[in-house]
Amino acid sequence: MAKKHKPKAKHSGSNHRPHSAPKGRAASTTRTYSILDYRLEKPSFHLRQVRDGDTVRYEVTGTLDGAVPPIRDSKYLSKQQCIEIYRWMLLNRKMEAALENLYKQGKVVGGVYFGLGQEACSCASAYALVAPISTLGDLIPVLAGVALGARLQGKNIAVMTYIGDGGQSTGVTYEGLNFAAVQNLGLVLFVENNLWGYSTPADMQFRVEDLAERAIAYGIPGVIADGTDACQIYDAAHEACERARRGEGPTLIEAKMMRMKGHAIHDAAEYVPKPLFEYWKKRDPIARFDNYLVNVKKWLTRAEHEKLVAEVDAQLEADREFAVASPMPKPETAAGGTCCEPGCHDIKPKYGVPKVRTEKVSSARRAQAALHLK
Amino acid sequence: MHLTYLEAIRQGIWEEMERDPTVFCIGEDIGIYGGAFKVTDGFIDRFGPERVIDTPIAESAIVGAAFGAALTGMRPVAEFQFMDFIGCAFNQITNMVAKAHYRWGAPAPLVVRGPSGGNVHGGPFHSQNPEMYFVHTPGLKVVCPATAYDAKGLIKSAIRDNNPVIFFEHKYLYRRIKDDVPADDYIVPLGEARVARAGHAGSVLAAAGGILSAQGQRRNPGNAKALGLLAANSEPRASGHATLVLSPYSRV
Repeated sequence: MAKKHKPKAKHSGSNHRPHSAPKGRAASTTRTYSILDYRLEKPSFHLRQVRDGDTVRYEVTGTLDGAVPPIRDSKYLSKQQCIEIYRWMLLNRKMEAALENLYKQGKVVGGVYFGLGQEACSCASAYALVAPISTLGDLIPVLAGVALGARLQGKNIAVMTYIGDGGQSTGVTYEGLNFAAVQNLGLVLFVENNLWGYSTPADMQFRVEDLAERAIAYGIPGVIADGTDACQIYDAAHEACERARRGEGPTLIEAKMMRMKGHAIHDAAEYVPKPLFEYWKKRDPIARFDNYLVNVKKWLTRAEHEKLVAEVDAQLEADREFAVASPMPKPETAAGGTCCEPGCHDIKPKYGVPKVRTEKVSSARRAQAALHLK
Repeated sequence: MHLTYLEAIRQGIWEEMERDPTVFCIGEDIGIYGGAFKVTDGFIDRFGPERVIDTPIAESAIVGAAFGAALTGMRPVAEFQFMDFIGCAFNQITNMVAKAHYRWGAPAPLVVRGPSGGNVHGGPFHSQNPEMYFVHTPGLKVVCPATAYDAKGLIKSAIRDNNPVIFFEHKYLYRRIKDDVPADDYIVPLGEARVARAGHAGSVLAAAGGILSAQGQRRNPGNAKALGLLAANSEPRASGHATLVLSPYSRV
């Protein structure tokens, strides 16, 4: 007679350990872990506050004279994809330059926050993803929840969010990533270590050498990549997203680069030591990728490159005209909309109707009184 | 059926979970343990661990993840073991969840529920009534049921509402009051007042535990959002007097 198989209880969480942790030998008293590092240079420099006569300023120490490394060939990107990513990076940069001009003409209401020097990170990582993206630390648990909702609806999706070296200090970052890890949700967290949280250097935000090491504490894979190298960023993002879609859980990717402007347009960033600017200016992501496409891979001729730039300029000019010519929103539109009124939204599951257990229990467990109420 | 306030809430959530596959529970110790107050007792057996999720001690993550799931069209019911801990998720609730519809046009159909109130020798962290922080926050609905009948009807309404609802269950009332609660599917709409006892001299509006200490003419609003419940049909407008009684705080 065939044996009846009891169906295996499904874990809601995961017992994954970091795949890099080796099984310890019985005699060993020390555990070692490894973190994947895609970079072709591994500089070490630090900032600290020093007194200089009447003032206190930041001083940078470390090796800042290394040669600019080449772009690391991507394992996955085709020539066309590289050119497309480059186009996005160019659009990104030129759009911000246009915004800066508009702001100085008094045409922008509110602040302007730049990503100068970080275009490779934002564009190449987003290119790897087809689903939700966000950029706030407070949204780390929220994106974990999006992945949870999708899984309840039967789909393993990859969700990606970004946090800075400053933002990752918040408690909610820990809570959100830990929740994603223990629940094995497909959250790809990009830590954009651009060395400054407003005016606070990374050395005053955390003690670890590399933020990717934090992955060990969550039990997930950690990866370091050069944030000014679009190929490395794409590869790291692509692998993490594939892992997520296979249901293997979160990944923490640390992208290293520097914020080349102040925190926002009002901030001149005079607190940044000049040698640091010089170092990172040589590593401008667009200049590096430009050189890679035209001179190294010869995927773009000079003429094709000029044509591409002209197209981006034309697109931007058209968008700028449209924006400037558009009327300001009416003040009355700021009121209302705090609540979802009847008929306002029809909420349906985005990925599919959840499959639920339909068998009823034969008798509900007898409720025990809570200790608190005795 | 004659149910306690707690049983009525349990039944309300259970019925909604049977009725709508997008409803699920998330919180601490709600699974095999059945919840610190046993509100979700038996739920994991019936609905499975996918829909009754035990979390780490991380209130920001509980609310944040519930919000994220709500954005995909789920209807989470997030439990706080004690509403005193709602401060741990204050930013998520007031800055993320409450603003979602206003800022992004994204409704957040989640319920945050848990025991509040004192008179149970719980001490300062197990006895609070934190509802007013959220009554002051646009974008949230706040509910404080006062009877078992209301509790079941209101939790069902809250789960079906497309807006975020913060649902304060007065722990003193959990097993101390009982009511006739219909076995069938009924709801109590959010935002309406009910006259508990009519009178002439003035109106006393009370919510949750305040009901038990209200004097004279009593109204039983069922939920605090309707402090706009001094609505068109309410007699305070006619009599000119209204006294609001919530669970009493004493100032020393």
